[in-house]
Amino acid sequence: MILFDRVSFRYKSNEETSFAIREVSFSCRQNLIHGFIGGNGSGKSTYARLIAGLLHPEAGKIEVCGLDTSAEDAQIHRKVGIIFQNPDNQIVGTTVEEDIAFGLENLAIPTNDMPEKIQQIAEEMGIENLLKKPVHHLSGGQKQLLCIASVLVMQPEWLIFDEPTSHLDPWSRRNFWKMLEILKQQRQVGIIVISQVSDDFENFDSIRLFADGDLVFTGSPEELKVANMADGLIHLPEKWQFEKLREAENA
Amino acid sequence: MPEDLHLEKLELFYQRQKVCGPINCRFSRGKINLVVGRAGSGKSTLLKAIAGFHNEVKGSISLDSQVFQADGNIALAFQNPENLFFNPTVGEEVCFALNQKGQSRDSNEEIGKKWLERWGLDAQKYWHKHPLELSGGEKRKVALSACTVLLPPVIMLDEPLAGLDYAGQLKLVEILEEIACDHIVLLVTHDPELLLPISSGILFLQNEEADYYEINQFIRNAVSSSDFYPLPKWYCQALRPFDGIREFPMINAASVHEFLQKKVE
Amino acid sequence: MLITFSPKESFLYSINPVIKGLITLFLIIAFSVIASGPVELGILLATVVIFSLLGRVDLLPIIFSLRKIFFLLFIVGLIQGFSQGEFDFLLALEAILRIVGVFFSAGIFVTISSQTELMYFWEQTFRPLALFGLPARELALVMVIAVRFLPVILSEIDRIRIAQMARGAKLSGGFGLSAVKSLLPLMIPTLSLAIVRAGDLALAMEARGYCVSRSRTRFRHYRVEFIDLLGLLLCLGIIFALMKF
Ligand SMILES: Nc1ncnc2c1ncn2[C@@H]1O[C@H](COP(=O)(O)OP(=O)(O)OP(=O)(O)O)[C@@H](O)[C@H]1O
Ligand SMILES: [Mg+2]
Repeated sequence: MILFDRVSFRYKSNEETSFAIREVSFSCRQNLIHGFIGGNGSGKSTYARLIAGLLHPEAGKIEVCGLDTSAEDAQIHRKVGIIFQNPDNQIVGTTVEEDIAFGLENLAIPTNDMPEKIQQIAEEMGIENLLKKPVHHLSGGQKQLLCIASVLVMQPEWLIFDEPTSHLDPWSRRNFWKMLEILKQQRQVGIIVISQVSDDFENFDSIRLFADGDLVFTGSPEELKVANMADGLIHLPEKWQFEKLREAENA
Repeated sequence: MPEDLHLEKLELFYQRQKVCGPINCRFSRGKINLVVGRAGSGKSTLLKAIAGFHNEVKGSISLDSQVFQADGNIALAFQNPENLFFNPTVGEEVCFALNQKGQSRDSNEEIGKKWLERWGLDAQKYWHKHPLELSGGEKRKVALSACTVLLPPVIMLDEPLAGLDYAGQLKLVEILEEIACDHIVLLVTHDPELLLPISSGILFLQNEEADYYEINQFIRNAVSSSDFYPLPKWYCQALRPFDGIREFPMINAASVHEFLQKKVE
Repeated sequence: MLITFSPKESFLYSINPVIKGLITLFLIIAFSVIASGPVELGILLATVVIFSLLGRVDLLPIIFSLRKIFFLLFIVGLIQGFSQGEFDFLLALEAILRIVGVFFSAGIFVTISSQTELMYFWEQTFRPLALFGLPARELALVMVIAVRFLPVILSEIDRIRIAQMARGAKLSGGFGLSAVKSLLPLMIPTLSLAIVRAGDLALAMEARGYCVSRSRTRFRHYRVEFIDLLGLLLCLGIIFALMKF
């Protein structure tokens, strides 16, 4: 469970005009795929960093799995795995297995237990034959799989993806959503996916729309489909629009 | 004004291993030219090779029948906008190419601000910010501005749609349509839907090969076989009964709906 | 092609990192100060090359980078060659072999040692300093960061050159002084950028539970095996055999 209780946040507290989150409250349940959507600069990535305990609220309180993110951020880092927009900025090791091991080292897992855990997660993500490879030899898609493996190996309770699909080719996008479904069911994790791609909306169990730091809509994809939204706030998937047109015609 | 960029028997290698080729293809001005393909098929390498940043190449590249000199004649917006940044403020970042060329700083600043606004960023608000302290989409817009202020003859964009919101994507389409009138524009993308109306053709890189398709041909193949290229499912389903037609409607709800209504009549 | 760690499986790669470092150190000393003629230096260099080929080391990047110091080699060769009045080809060759030898030894060390191994190497090497009350761990960290960031800064310069050309600006190209001059004003922003990027990396590390003050376990333990000592002895043996007193 993630809980936002009247949370306020600013990057630079002295600048009046800059981006701000003002007294926002909401909650996300575990075991669902939550979509965070909204235009550029609406604050999606900022919310992700707040949940992961990498930024702290100026006022209000954020709780993840019952822990206050400001007070216990070391604990939070274990509970929340985050995969950033750009894989290049988050790969720490020089080889695939070293990168996966990094999180385990931080958890102080005994050395002898590491190889098995690494092998297991690599098999789950289908990268077991890359373990010895240097990370700069990986393709973009492989890098993303590595980032997911490196985070999953720490057995987090929440997974956050910042725009995972925008750099994937259309073939890999389909695989990505299949993988998320499996993760959700087998690992019982809560998943948050930030996305700009409207075709992704259908894959969410629950959607939150942000605008200018504010939460302006919460609901299921079906509810978003019929919601009355201000013009230009959100572009609905062409598929939905097409269905609407057909329905109107048949009616 | 450039007319066409001609690739002849172009082969791309990466650490002595062949990535793609031979590519035989003519990119012309007027409309933009799309490049699509799976991850790792060599799309970015192709753009870098044309820009002269990747040297493991065989074959020839010519602009209007003359050997192509990349230096000073290309702009390339990288897949990762951060790779383009090296200045402390957005303003300097955007104006860099102009200042390098000379001319007065004031007029350069004016041009830079105009482009930022065109790409959808409030120039006043962002001018003095650090380029790396922006959101993902904002970084993309700054990188695009920095690559369009000077407009050399060949403009190349590597997945510019990634990270842009819908409003930003519409702006991109509008701006590129205009630029393509007197520049050669190459664009790598995973989301060709929005761009098809302003494109003249698609270069499809696959299994080390490169095939050039005219737009309707490409759509026809994708509609009749889902193994060819995954266009949106609803579109393919709606149009599968009509795969013999010469001109396909564009991939958006309104166009398809209109098309189907006409067919019924 | 940059000289970087490129992992493979071979006896060379699996040597204990500290022994790797020591062997490299001895080789560098042998190449640079020990009095020998060009023949012995040539044999030593050939031995190094043969062993690294047997150990599946990719020498291409090293040879490739050697081209960059070609000019330096040429000058040194000339100076040494003429040091006794008449041009002496053997003297010139000796000087060149010395530099190439040092270059190869260091290059191979970097190619076969991973980041973690380097970190471990420095930690162990500085450990005796702790006896004198010096902060060994911190010193090791400084070394690792220096080793890690030097290539970052060098590749940043490359990236920026490309980033400039990528906008259609024609560079006032050329080599030597003018090129250095045109890059100089960029050094400060480059450095600050490198720090911001390092900040991004730090954020990612923090997100994965990294914390300097907490104790962590290690993925790899390094023990000195008999075979490592054998390698060290073999190396010393070859050097002594080739030495001229
Ligand atoms: N490190 C930072 N320092 C200062 N301001 C920042 C920083 N990161 C982001 N901002 C600002 O905060 C606002 C929200 O940024 P955020 O990254 O959360 O947006 P986003 O919704 O993820 O957008 P996008 O879709 O473009 O990625 C933006 O206006 C941005 O300029
Ligand atoms: Mg973002």
